[in-house]
Amino acid sequence: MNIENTKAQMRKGVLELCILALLQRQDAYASDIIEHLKKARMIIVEGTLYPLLTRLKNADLLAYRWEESKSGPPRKYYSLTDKGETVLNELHTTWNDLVQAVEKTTQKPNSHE
Amino acid sequence: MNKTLNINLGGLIFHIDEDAYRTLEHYLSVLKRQFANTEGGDEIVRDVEVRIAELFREKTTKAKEVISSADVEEVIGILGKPEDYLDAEDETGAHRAYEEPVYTTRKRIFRDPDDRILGGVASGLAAYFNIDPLWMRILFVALIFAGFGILFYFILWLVVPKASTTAEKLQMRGESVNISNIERSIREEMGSVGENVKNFGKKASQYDYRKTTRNAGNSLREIGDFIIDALKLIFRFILKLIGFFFIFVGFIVLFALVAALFTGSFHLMGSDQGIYDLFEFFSLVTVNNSHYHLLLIGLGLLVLAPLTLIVYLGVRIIFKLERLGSPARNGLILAAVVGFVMLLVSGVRIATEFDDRSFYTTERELSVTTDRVELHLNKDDIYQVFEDYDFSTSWVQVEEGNAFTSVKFDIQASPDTIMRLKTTVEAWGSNRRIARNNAESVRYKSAEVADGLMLFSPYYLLPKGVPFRDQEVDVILYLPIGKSVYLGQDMADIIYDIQNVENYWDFDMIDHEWIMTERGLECADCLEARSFEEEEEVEAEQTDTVEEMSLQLSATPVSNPSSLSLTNPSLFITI
Repeated sequence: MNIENTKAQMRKGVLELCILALLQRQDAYASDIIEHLKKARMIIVEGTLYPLLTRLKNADLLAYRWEESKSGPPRKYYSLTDKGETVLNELHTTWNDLVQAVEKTTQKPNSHE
Repeated sequence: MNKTLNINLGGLIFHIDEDAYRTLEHYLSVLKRQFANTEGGDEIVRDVEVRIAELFREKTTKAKEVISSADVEEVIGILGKPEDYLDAEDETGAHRAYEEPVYTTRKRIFRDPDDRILGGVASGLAAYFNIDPLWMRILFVALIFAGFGILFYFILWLVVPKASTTAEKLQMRGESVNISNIERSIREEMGSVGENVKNFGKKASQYDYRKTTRNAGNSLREIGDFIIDALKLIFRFILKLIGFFFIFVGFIVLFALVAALFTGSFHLMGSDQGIYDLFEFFSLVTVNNSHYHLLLIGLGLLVLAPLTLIVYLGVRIIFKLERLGSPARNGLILAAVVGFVMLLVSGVRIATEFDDRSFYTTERELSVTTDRVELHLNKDDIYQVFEDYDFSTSWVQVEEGNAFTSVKFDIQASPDTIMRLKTTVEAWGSNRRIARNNAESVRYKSAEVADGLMLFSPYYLLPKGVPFRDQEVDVILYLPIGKSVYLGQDMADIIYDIQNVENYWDFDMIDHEWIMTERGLECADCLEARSFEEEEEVEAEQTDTVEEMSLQLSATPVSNPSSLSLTNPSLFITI
C-alpha cells in the first residue's frame, strides 16, 4: 500500500472545498489559487488544479472573466457563482461532519492508528 | 554552443534550447492527448500553457534569457506528471479518457535511430520483439546469405517509420507513454548526447546544423545535406560489407579448421586427409615429442593470431566495437611472431633430418621352376584401405603403422639363369648411418604364393614409432633370358619405367606377357598390327594439323582485305 498516495487522495478529496472557499473570499486567477493552496500544502503539483477548475466551471460552480494584466497577457479571473456558493455550504457541512466522524473513530482507545 | 528556438507560449515569447523545447513539446502533446476526450480539454491545456509561460518568465532575466532543459524539467516538476492531472477527476468524466487507446500502451514497429548500424531496422524489430538487437542482426546477416536479406532489409527500411519523438521511442519499446517514462528516456538521451558531444563533437554539431537548416526551411541546403548523408550511408554500407567479408573469411577458415578437427574430412594438400592426419604427419616428420609440439604450437599461433585479428576487425566494423587495445593487439602480433619463429626453428630441425640419403638393399634368389611367372598385386587389408580412398592418397594410417605407396617396380635382365628379386629402400636422415637405419625400418612384402605366381605389395609399411624420412622402395626383378613374365593389370600401380624392346609405356605393358631376350624385354603376345595402327594414327594426326594450318593460312589473306575495304572505305581516303 502506498501511504503517500493515500495522503494525496485525502488532500484531493477536500480540494474542491478549498478552491470554492478561497474564491468565496475573493476572486482570483489560477496562479493566485495555486499559491494559496501550495502554501497550505494542499497541493504538491500544480497540474492537479487545472482540470479541477475547468470541471468546476463546466458544472457552473465557477465563472471567469478576462482581466488585463500590467505585466503580460490578460489573466483568467475565477469567481464563485450562486450555485457554487450553495455547493460550498453543502461541502462545508459534509466536511464538518466528516471531521467529527474521523475524530470519534480515531480517538477510540484500542485504535493503533 | 546550443541552438535556441523562439516559441509563443500563452501569448509570451521565449527563447528556448532545442532539447528543452523537445521536452516541453512532448509534455504538452501528452497532455493534449490525455485530455482529448475530456470536456474543456483544450482549455485545460491552454491554462497549463499560460501557467508554464508565467513560470518561465520568473526564470528569465536580462542575464539569462534562454529557457534551458533544467528550467523545463523544473517547471514540469512544479506542474506534475500528466497522470497527476487525472487523479482529481471524478469517475464519470475524464476517467474514461484515461482508458483511451491513445493513452494505453500499444507496441508499434519503429526503426531505432539511436541504436542503428544502417537504418535501425534490426534494433527496431528487436525492440518490438523484446530481444537483443544482436540476434536480429545475426538473423539479417543469415538472411543475406539466404539470398533475400538485403532486399528484405531495404524494404523494411522504406516501410517502417523512424522513431523520432520520445513518445514513439517508448511505443517502440512498448513502454507506457507517461511523463515519467518520457522523462527517463529523455534523461538517457541527454546522457548519450553528452557522451556523443564528448566523443564525436564534430558529428553532433553537424547533426544540429542540419536541424537548424531544416527549421530555417532552406531546402537547397537540405538537399545538399541529404546527398552528403546518402554518401555517408553508402560509405558506411561499404564499410559494413568489408566487415562482413572479414568475418565471413575468418569464420570460414575457422569453421574449416574446426570441422576438419571433428570430422577429418578436410581436403588438405590435394588428398583426402583430415587434420588429425596432418598432426599425425607432423609427428612422423618430427624428431621427438617436444619437436612435434613446437611445430604444432608454432603453426597454431601463426594461424590463429591473424585469424583472430581478422574476425575482430570485421566485428568491429559492423558492431562498432572499441578498437582493440594496444596490449591485446601487441599480444596478438607477438603471438604470431613467436609462432613464426617456432615454426622456423622446427622447420630447420626437420630439414636437418633430411640432410643425408642412404639405402639398404636385400637380394634373394627365387626358386621358380616354370618359364612363365605371373605378377600381381598383393591385395591384402591395407591394400583395401588404399582402394577405399581410390588410390587418391599416398599414405594411410593402419593399425600396424603408416603405409606409403612409394613403391617402384622394374624388370631387368639377369646376368645368369637365376631369377632374383632385389629390394632397395632409400631414406633420408641427419647422417648416413641414421638414414640407413631409417631405410632398414621399412617393411616391404613380396611373396611367391605358388610356383609361377608372385604377389607384390603396392605399399611399404613404417611400423609405429618409425619416422617418415621419405623412404622409397625400389623392387627389381632380375629375369633370366628365355623366361617370361605376365604383368597383371593391377601391376600398373607400381611398375615404373620398365625398359622394353617395343618401347611401350608402362601402362601399355600390363596385361601382356613379356619375354626376356638378348635385346631386352620383348612382348610375347602383343599384336604386330598394333604398332602399325599406332603409326598410322600418328600420321593421321599430323596430316590433320597440316590441313588445319593450311586452311587458316588460306582464310586469313582472303578475309582481311575485303573486310577492310568494305567496312572502312574512308580509311584509304583520309590517309
